[in-house]
Amino acid sequence: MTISADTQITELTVNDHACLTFGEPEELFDLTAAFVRDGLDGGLKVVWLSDATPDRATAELARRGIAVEEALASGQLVAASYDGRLLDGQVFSAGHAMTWLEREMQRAGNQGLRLAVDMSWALGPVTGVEHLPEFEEQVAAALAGTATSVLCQYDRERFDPVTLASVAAFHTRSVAAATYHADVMLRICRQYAPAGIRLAGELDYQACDSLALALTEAIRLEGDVTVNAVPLAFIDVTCARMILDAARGLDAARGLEAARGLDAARGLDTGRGQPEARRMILRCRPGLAARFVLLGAADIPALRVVTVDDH
Amino acid sequence: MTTDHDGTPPQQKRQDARQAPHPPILDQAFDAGSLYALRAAVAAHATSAGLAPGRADDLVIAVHELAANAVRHGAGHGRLRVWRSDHALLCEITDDGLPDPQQADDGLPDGAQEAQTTPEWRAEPGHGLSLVRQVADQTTLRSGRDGTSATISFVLAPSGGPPFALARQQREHCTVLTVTGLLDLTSGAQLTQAVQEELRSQKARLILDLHSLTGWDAAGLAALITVQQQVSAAPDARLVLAALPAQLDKHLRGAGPHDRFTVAENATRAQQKLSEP
Repeated sequence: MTISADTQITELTVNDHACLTFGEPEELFDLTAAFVRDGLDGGLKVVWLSDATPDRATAELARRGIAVEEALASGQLVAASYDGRLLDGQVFSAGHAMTWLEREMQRAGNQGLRLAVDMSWALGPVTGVEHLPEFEEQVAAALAGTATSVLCQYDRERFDPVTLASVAAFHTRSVAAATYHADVMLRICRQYAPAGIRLAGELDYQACDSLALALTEAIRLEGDVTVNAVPLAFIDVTCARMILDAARGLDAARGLEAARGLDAARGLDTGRGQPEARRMILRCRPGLAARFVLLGAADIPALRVVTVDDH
Repeated sequence: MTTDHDGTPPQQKRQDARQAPHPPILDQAFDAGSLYALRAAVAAHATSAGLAPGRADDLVIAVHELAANAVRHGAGHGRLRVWRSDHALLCEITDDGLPDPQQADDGLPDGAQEAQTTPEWRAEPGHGLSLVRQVADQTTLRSGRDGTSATISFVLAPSGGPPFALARQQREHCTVLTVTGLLDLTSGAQLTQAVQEELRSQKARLILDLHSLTGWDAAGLAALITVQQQVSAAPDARLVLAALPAQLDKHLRGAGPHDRFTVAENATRAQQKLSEP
């Protein structure tokens, strides 16, 4: 079992110049969605530069529950390409990129700015890429005392360790998805938007301790719990039951809360309002959904099974 | 101690497996570290033997659960053998009895190992063995001093069976949906969709006639449970399963409350049940 010691994406604040490392696109989109969601919720202007087309980028955010249409229409959210911003065609200049960033910071003014930059442009045939560390150093200096935070996103599989090490020093924080299990067969990590856990690969009883920890931490947060098992090819009965038992636990907790709510209605002040109905949303392929149904999923009120065909 | 779960004398069962006319198509030892490889081998052989994809998945989970039981509750390792007959795939999962001497000695007083028998595999509802019985066509389990042996069979569907069809017939005060062919992931989705449409009308009265059903897999079972769930959630709607095959009845009972479904011998009797208050 492994738990990364990195900062959680949800803990970033103003002034942070954070270095996010990710292992696959799904993880990048998930972590970015959480960064964007928290920025929009905080009333900040949010800009995401990536090599995905703006339509794809915003579709990925929308798929994770971000109200992109309103934010795009109001100008609070911008999803854009690098060209004319970080790059001029295929040329990178730290000075040019800093001019763009400072202009964006001025435009945002007191509203504050959250900028996410997928750094995969630096893996392409770009002239001036050797100035990347210089750019990161200047960003760090420019953020002091401002209401701007910048999240630089590096693919840890594609960037070489030397480059990652050379830019790491200029960041105030290192961010990565909390990972509970990672080997060639299985990956269990936290999902940030929507909040919950993500399971990929083949899951059997031998990883049940990791699964238990992931579920425990996900349930400790507030709101609905999403178990994203779409990338899961196999799950055995022990682990499927563990997920179902966690959903039953949400039901049981709701029952307790409802009893407290009843006390409050009778004039017994317990210091709590009406119970919030928490749900577990289990997303998986249809074949696995059938297995959960055979194990009793249909009889758990707090559980909603969503089958996803087009993985 | 010997336990047997389908009434056939254990000795005869053991002979059935070992006297199969052909050598096994798969003979593989396993332990905790090789369960993934075991699953991959079973999936490959199941597909190659002609099991439909959904049934192949069912076989993989059944073998995994039995092998995991051997690892967790038996010797810590075991052996899988798979035979193919004209009509079925037969799988035998055995463990070698007592755990490793080193492991068995842990915490045991001198001589206690002699008195110890192989721990029985757990068969509680919702556990691995329960799911195995839901998806396999036949399950036999024996535990004794020489270890535990589980045998499961999966019938190979005859080629040229009728394709899936769902016929709708309006009768007096009720609708009959007749299912023909195989109930699997795809046809199960069609069935739940069709029932959802029927439930748009107030106080829906439905008969699901299964006399022409030729087979099902776990997804088909799940579809029937989902259909009943849809009906239970709709105000004043009722559903009767007509001509439910005995084997399917047994499999459904393993998946939840016995009284979840209302059943009748045939569609006419089902119609009578629906007219009762």
